[in-house]
Order: sequence, then C-alpha cells, then structure tokens
Amino acid sequence: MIFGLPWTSWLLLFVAVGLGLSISLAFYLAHRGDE
Amino acid sequence: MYSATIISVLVVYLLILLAIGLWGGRESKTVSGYYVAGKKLPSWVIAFSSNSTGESAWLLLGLTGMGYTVGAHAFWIILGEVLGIALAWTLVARPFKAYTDRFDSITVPDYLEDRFRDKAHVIRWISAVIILSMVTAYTAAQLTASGKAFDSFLGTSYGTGVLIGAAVILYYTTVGGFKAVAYSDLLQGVLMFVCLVTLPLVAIPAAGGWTEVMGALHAEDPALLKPMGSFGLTLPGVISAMGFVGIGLAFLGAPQLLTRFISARDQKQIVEGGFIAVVCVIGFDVGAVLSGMAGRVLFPGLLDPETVLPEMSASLFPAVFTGIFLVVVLAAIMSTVDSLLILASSAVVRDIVQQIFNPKWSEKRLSFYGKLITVVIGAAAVIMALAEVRMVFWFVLFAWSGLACAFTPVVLCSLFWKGTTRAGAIAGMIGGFVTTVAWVVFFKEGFYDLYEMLPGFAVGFILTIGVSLVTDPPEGVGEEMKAVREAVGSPFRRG
Repeated sequence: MIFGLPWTSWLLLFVAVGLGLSISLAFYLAHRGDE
Repeated sequence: MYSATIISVLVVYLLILLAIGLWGGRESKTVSGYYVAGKKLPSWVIAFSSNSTGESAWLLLGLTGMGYTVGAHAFWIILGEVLGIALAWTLVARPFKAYTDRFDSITVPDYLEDRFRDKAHVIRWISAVIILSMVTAYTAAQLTASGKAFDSFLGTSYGTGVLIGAAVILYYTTVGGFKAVAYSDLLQGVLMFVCLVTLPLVAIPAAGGWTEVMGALHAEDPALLKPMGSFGLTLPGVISAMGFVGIGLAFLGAPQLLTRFISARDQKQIVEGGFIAVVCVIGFDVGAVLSGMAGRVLFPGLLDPETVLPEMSASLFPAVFTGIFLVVVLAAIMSTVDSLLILASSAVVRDIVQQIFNPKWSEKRLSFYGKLITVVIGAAAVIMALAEVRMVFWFVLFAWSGLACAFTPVVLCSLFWKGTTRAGAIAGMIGGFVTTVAWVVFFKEGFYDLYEMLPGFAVGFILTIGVSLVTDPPEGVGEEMKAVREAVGSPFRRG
C-alpha cells in the first residue's frame, strides 16, 4: 500500500497518465516547428 | 434546491449559447462553412470540441457512478481513453487532415469515396444509413437525459425539459452551424474540465482526506482499491478490463470526432491540439473516477450510483455551484447532441443530395437545406424522447461503438495500408457495424458481457484486410499515400 492504495493501482494510474502525456509531448516536440 | 440562483445560472448559460449561435451564423451560409466552419478552427477549439463531443452525460453521471461502484477498476477506462485520444492525435489526425485537404473533403464519407475512387457512391449510402440510424437514436436518448436533468434539478416536467434542451441546441446548431457547435463545445468542455477537477479536490477533504477515503473504501471492500476489482486476475476480470480499455478505441475513428481534424485551420493546430486534448481528458477521467470513489465514502448505499455527482454538488457546494453543476450536465449532453445533429445533416445534404444527386443549387440553398435537415432530425429525436421509447436505451448502448466500429477499422486501414480496396472498405464497414448490433442482441450475455466495441473492431479489421487481400486497390493510391507520408513525416521524428 502506498498512501492507502495498492502499488498495482498506482502503477495503472501512472501508466495511463504518463503514457498519454509522453506520447503527446513527444509528438508536439517533434512537430512544433513544422510549417 | 430549485432556487432562483440555480435558475439564474441556467438562464445565463442558455443565453451565452444563443449568443454563440448568432455569432457563428455569419460562417454558416455555405456548405463548407456550415459543416466544418470553413476549415479555420484553432487548436484549443478542436481539442476541447473533440473531447466534449466524445464524452456525453456518461462522463459526468456514468463514469462517476463507475468510480463509485467498482473503484480503482475504473482506472482501466482512464487508460483506454487517454491512450485512444493520444494515438488519435499523434497517428491519425495529421495524415487524415492531409488527405482531406488534398481531396477537398468536408465529411468522412467524402474522404472515403475519394480515397477508394468509389464512383458508384456505395460507401456514401452505407455511411449515411449508419450515421442516420445511430445519430437519431443516440440524440433521442440524450434528450431523454436532458428531460430528466431539468426534472430532477428544477422540478419542471420531463417534457418541458426535453423541449427546452432541444430548442436551445437546435437554435444554435441551425443558426450558427459547425462554428457555433465547436465554440459552444469549447465552453462546455472547459466547464466540464473545471468541475471535474474541482469536485475531487473538494470531496476528498470533505470525506476526511486521501488516506481516510482509501481506508474507508478498504474497510468496506478491499477489492474497491485493486485494479482487477472484485474479479481478481480471472477471465471475467481480464474481459472487463479489456472492455473498459476498449471504450477509448472509438476516439481513433468515430466520424463525429474525425470531423474536428478536417475543420482544423492547418497541421500546426493539430500538433498543438494533441497535447491539450490529452491533458483535458486526463482531467475529465481522473476527476470523474476519484469523485466517484470519494462519493462512496460520503454517500454510502446510494440506490443509483449515477446520482452521486448531483448528490455531491448539492451537499458540498453553495447553490450557485449546484446551478453550475446542472449546467455542466446539460453541457455534456448538448456538446454531444449538437455534433451528432450536424453530422447527420451532413450525411444527408452533403453526402447524398450534393454529391450523389448533384442538383444545380447555390451554396446558400444547400446550406439552408442542411439547416432544415438538422431541424427534421432533431424533431424526430424529440418525438422519440417525448414518447419515452425505452427501446432507445438498449439502442444507445451500441450507438457509440456502432459508429466507431463501422468507420474506425476502415479509416485506419485507408490511412496506413495502400493495399486497402473499395470492396474491403465496404465489407469492413458493414461487418463492423452488424457485428456490434449482433453482439449486443445475441452474444454479449454469454461472453461475460464483453463490450461490443472489441468484437466489432476485430470483425471490421478482419473483413477490411481479408477482402482487400483478394481484390485490387484503386490506381494511384500508392503514390498518393507516399506524398501524404512525405508531407506529414514521422509522428515522433523531426522533419
């Protein structure tokens, strides 16, 4: 338990949020200067 | 509860929508202006519009109820939706926008017909039938929700609620066209975002704090905190988690969402919009699920878990915020209905009348008929909602996946595989759609309630690819795809 929630649930939540942010940020950084 | 404050907040909101309708009216006098706002929309409008269209009242009432009922198991829905939106913007949006600009398409059937050189217009007819059937029923169900929201928050009659909701939506959708729809979606999306981020920040401290909420849920049932919930690591548990993730697949190709990419001003708006859309859906979904979990501690034993948001808004906030929460529920309904109505209108006027029968009508006249059709479809939905046709509710369960399964596999294959053929596309569209319907009616109960999106997608892909392998692709698609790929580049590499 971490702050009352099992580590597996934290992992799922961080994968969901982290994966979404990483994918969209990588996409933004790769194309921000495109014409 | 039915105070003057709540009514005042509601009236202000409805007046703002009417003003947006008037403001958007200037753009709606041509077909392209009415259906895609002349392809001039900026990133933050298409991002919020796409998310608030994709999320109906289900986000506020259904997903909070899901957090209340299954706890951390609902994190799988967050994974599915966040991934679906991130991949839609990074992989699908740019090539789709490049193709639709190249073909001068303003609807998804426009794009599919040109991509597959479908001179017999078969894809247009199939698209129109699927869109019209799904949209009318889905709209009727959302108007039913509008009637119930007015009834429960303000004590108006159910019928009055349906009529007020429909009248406001039809006004700004017909007068203002897609521009009004998209900008009202932006307003509605921002309202939904602010409320769903605020709600757990107020509710969790009200329930004693984070550790206390988790402790109370653990004491009630430890499964509420586990990712596989009460199922554990079993076949039904895996199927349930897969179904939750599958909800997000629709973001990759549902036509009402793809239209947002067509309406973007240019590719730059898509690059910026992707990050905004992902941050927005994270706020939506994490806020909704955590609110539901805190709501279970604050209001244990609710007979209908989907009332947890209204309960929390009435108990934890002053009246003016209760009014805002009512407005947010209506916003979620309206932002979905307006987009569906304009999609259905485009299926009739642009896809059938203008492109198949090709009458020598002026743009203004076509746009007028577009508005007329919007009213006719809206009126049909109002009649269904007033009659309280209960069949609508089982129908709406697969309206979201019906639209997604008919279009997404075909759109994805058309963007990334030059071997996709016209016959493959037709087979994939019919197969994906029919499977969704058949799964709900005949098979779902026998397969641990597996969400229809997954079999619908699987059959859609299998038929599109299988039939394409034994038929010939149209001429020139290889060069066309190469040109599009060179124009948009790799999703994650510069240049």
